[in-house]
Amino acid sequence: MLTLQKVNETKIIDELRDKFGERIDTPKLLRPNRIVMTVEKENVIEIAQFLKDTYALNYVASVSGIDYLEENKFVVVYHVSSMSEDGHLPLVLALKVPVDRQTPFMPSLVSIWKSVEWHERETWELFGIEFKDHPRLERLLLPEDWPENQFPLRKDFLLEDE
Amino acid sequence: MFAVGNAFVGILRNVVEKIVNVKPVRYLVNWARLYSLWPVHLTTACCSVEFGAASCPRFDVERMGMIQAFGSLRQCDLIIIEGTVTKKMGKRVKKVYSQMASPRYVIAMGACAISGGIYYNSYNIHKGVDEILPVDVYVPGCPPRPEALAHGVLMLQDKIRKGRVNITKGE
Repeated sequence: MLTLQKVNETKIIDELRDKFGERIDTPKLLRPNRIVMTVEKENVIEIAQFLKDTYALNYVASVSGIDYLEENKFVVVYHVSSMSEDGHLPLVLALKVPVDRQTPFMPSLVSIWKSVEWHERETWELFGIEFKDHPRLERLLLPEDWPENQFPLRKDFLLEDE
Repeated sequence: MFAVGNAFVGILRNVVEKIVNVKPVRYLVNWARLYSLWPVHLTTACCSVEFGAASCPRFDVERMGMIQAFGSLRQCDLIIIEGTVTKKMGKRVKKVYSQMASPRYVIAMGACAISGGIYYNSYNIHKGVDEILPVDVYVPGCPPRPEALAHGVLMLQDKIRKGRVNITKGE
């Protein structure tokens, strides 16, 4: 288990490259303590489980969606860090999952990190990205009578004044 | 039996309303109301911090007759809308308002509660709480200082004293 002093990002990146090879797209060090990597949605559960078991990355700070309108895709970003017994590690790992824009869905990670439950609900209602096997995919922030198939954080959603 | 009882209550209510509407009595009733404003502590956004400060010793609105926010909704007769009201919260605000005892007064506090503020073109907010509730006093600011809120309370008391408040009957 890692401690506060011993975070070695390049070692983590090398280990991930060795273990998963092509299945992880360019894990790289953005700046100290910040690793970014892109993962296909077919492999995301396995890799997430590996991250949690190996590096004690047990806390998801945020789940957000990005709408790339021109490239016709969404990207779901999980910012994963650690609240392990050794103290709060400074390492933050951004796990990016690209999703198709026409039929947006990906597997839910609630089975690995329980804290993503309401984050994924929020991403679902604001972007329309469906999380398969999510235990409770209901509206969180929007009113109950919000119309179906309107997702306010998508780039092609128009506000009243626009 | 119940019919007779109801008829009796109806007559009694009419008589009481007649008595209350006599001018000196009306003045006395209003006078009693204006120094016992019980606010609901319903935090919708960040203006509640200033609301909290207003009841604390430094600003102390209690000396003007607005009691600190505590107690049940059934005792309350003043609701201060503290900031942005989202559409989801709007339903809850309405529910809270309809549970309060009549006569009840509404103060819209801050730019968001008045007109939507910086969120005026958001997909998820009411552009001013007067879309859903009958507002008596608007307190501008972002957020208003506790003194501004105290001034709003004084204005509301002035309205009550002069009988210019629209008293909504309970639902």
